[in-house]
Amino acid sequence: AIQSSRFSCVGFPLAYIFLACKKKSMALKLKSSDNKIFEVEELVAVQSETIKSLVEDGCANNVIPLPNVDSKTLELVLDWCKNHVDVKLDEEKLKEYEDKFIEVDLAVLYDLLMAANYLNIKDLLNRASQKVADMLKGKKPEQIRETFNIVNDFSPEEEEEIRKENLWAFEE
Amino acid sequence: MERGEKQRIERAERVKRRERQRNYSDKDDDFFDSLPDSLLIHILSYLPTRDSIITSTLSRRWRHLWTLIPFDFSKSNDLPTAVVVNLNQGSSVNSMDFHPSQQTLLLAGTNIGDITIWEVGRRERLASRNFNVWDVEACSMALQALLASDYTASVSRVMWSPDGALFGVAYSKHIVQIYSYHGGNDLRNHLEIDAHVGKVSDLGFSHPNRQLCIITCGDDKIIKVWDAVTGDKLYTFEGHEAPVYSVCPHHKENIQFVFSADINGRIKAWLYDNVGSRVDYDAPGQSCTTMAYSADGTRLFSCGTSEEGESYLAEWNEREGAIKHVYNGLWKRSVGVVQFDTMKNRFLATGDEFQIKFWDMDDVNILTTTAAEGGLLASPCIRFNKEGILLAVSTRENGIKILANADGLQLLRSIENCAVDNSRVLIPGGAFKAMLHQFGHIKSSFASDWADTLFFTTENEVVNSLQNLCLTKEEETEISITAHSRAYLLEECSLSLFGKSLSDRQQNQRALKSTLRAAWKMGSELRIIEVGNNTFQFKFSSHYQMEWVENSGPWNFDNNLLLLCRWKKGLTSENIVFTHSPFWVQLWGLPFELMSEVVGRDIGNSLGCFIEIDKQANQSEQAKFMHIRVDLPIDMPLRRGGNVVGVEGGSSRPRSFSNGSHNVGGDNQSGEKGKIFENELQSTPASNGGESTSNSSVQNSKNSKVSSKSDQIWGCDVLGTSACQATESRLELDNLEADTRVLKQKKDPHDGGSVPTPMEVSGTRELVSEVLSKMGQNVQEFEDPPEVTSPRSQSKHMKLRENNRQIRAL
Repeated sequence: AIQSSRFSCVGFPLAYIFLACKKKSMALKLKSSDNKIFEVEELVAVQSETIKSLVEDGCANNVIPLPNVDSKTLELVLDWCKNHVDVKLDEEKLKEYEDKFIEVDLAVLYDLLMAANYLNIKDLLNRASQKVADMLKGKKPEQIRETFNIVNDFSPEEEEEIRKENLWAFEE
Repeated sequence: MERGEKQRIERAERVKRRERQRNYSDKDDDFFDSLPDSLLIHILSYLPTRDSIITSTLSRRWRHLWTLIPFDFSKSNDLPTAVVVNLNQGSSVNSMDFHPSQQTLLLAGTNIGDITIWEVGRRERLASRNFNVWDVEACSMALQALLASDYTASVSRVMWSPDGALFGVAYSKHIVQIYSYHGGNDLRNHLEIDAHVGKVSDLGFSHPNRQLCIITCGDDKIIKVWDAVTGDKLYTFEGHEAPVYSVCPHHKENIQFVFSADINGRIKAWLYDNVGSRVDYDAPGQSCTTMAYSADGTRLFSCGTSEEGESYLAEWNEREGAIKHVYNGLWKRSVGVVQFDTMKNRFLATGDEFQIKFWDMDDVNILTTTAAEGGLLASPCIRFNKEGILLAVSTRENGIKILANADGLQLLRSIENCAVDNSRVLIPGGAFKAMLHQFGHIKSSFASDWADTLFFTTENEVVNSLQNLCLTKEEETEISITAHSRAYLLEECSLSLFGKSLSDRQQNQRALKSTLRAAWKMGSELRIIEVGNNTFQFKFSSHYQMEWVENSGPWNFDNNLLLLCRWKKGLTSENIVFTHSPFWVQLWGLPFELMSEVVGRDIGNSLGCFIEIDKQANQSEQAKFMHIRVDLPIDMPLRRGGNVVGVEGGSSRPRSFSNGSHNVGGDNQSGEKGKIFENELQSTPASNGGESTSNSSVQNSKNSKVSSKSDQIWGCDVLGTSACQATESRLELDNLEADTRVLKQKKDPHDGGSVPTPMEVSGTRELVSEVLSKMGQNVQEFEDPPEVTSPRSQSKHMKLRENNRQIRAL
């Protein structure tokens, strides 16, 4: 169905210009909560909206401290960012990567969620949230409490009351 | 004190947060304990509604979280094709744009330079401006000269800034105006830029270097970039060899650039520097082109029309500057330049060939078309809202149609009804979704009824109503309407007037609706519903409109009086009674010393219920009569005149001759007397001859179909006491065609109104001859007064002579 271009193209394609501009991208230094320093390309780091605004405000000349992220998590996050800056990676491979990336235990997932939330990296946050949601989906309240160690602070009467409010959701 | 309290709370929160931020490692810890609520809600938004409701029983913290899930229309993927709203703009719409965050706010610009912000859900004009140059002095000489010869301009483009705080308007003459919008009707002038020589064809907003910029292009082949705060010119891009038709600012991988296209289809791209154009592409068919990205900014499309009228819609590989594919199905004889828009990342739409055509982005063949129930322009202007659930399209009759998909309908409905109590509280999405799920469990006919009945504004109300909505099998047959859901319907009713045409004939309803809409200068936002018994319900969109109609009455349609009354609780089409109708009454022949508002009020109250006095008429030079507005009882005969008794004890007793009748003609209150008498002439012989009364009403209804105010004229000239004796005794029996019509109307068994005794009618007929002879006498006396010079009184005299002749002939 796709028709080949029969219209002429004059001048440089935009891709060359992107390439030319990309070279200007400089390295940034990020410091984790346990004082480890990571050196990354700006293009990688600015996927975090938090870092991006720091860069744009000109506060990124020295080391950027990230007091809420430890080195272990930051390494993972930066790995994610590197894989998402390279747009050449086709969608299937990217999905494969993401699925593998997110297959972690609850403790790491928790750290990723917190880091993604703090650094404001949209796609990582969405993927991690999706992962948690998958773990909640189709489960009974008791099962969810068990998985996530949630303490039930309702009395049985109260719980029954809430059930009644939306009985249809609890049926079957 | 307050600040101390605040600081204390903040400190406590900080401590709490720090506690939470210790890492989750221990297996016995609650995983969610230290995650912020916003994150939990985000997670819940990935769950199906049912699963998100189940979480309400997890613990106290989760109790209400699910109700806070925002509406998510991103999964809404059907096309908006159902026409749900018609807006009457008043002039031909050239450009539209939906607000980036407030889904139902539509900005429109027209060919006479008007701009309007519409609240689509409430069909309400929030703010409006006409073409007006704010500071002519500051403009270039060329523009000043242009404006001096012709102070008009059309809007070529309107556009919201990305955050929706500003919007820009590009005009066909030199200037671009930037307004700032602060919600409601608060619209302020922000910047006026004398941007280009000739027409400004397009504008766009972008954020290079973190500051908001406006990009404009125009007939002078130049693209300019302006600071949106100060209005300083930042960059000038030169290089096009023809007028620039469109600009499309975008960014990719942190590189900010602007695409521009001229009318010959040459496309260039610019970075924000002064180096010049970097690329040079040719649009298919050398067409005058606009460009747009899909919502996620990954795919570039162009659409344009060549000089020969051939239109092209194409997807680009922006990197290579090559066309990926050209979509099929556009007209080969397009009028003007075809406009297009992208819907999220999936669909394309164009306004072409009197319809809207849709494509899937991945398929070159046309997906579907809709004519939006007809009435579109050949190449209508179209615009999706940001979520792609609403689509605005301009119509031939200077209007805008809004099309919606299922989600769009829901949104409009919720807003329509949230708005009734003027609160802007949005429905928590989760709860609303759950409600809709519940509707799925109820019988479908129920659901539609209830969807109309249940509207909520606050979370509490939602929760309450959900409690009331426990529908198990036993309960399913019984539904009690809760008081608060009815309140909204009541509210809607309170914005209604009920009307009935005073005629025993069936009315042409379509004509009635369109005539009234035109006369009241309201478009389709005025809803007219036949509620049975020849009664209409007029639903207004604002209180102001309703009051205006009420205060500018009385109204005629097809020469029949249109009775109006307000809604009252418990009113049905069966028990509705029309008792009074306002009339303008002219009081003639009052002694000069009695020409005052107080006297007008007294006379008015003796006739019916005094409403107001026309002060203008009283103060102007022609104070020959007094003009008062009176709510007259319609089941009583219209009186011809009366005696005014002076306060000093000595009574001046005016006598009367003239009448009121449901009159035809323009809405000016003066200058219509001739016609009024005409009516009288037609009808008086009829009632005299004892013919059927309906005959006279038929005669009258032939006259004209204009609805207008009518006047009742009162003549009182002072008489000697001898003459007035006879007059006095008969005054209450003085009777007219109009009242016989009223009586006839009232006798109709289907009419729920009070039925007056037929006594009055028969009594009247016996006395008609006497009345007529008295009138003749009056006329003779009246011909004497000196004020024959005024053309109006001349015409009156002429009519009176005619009257006289007819009476003699009888």
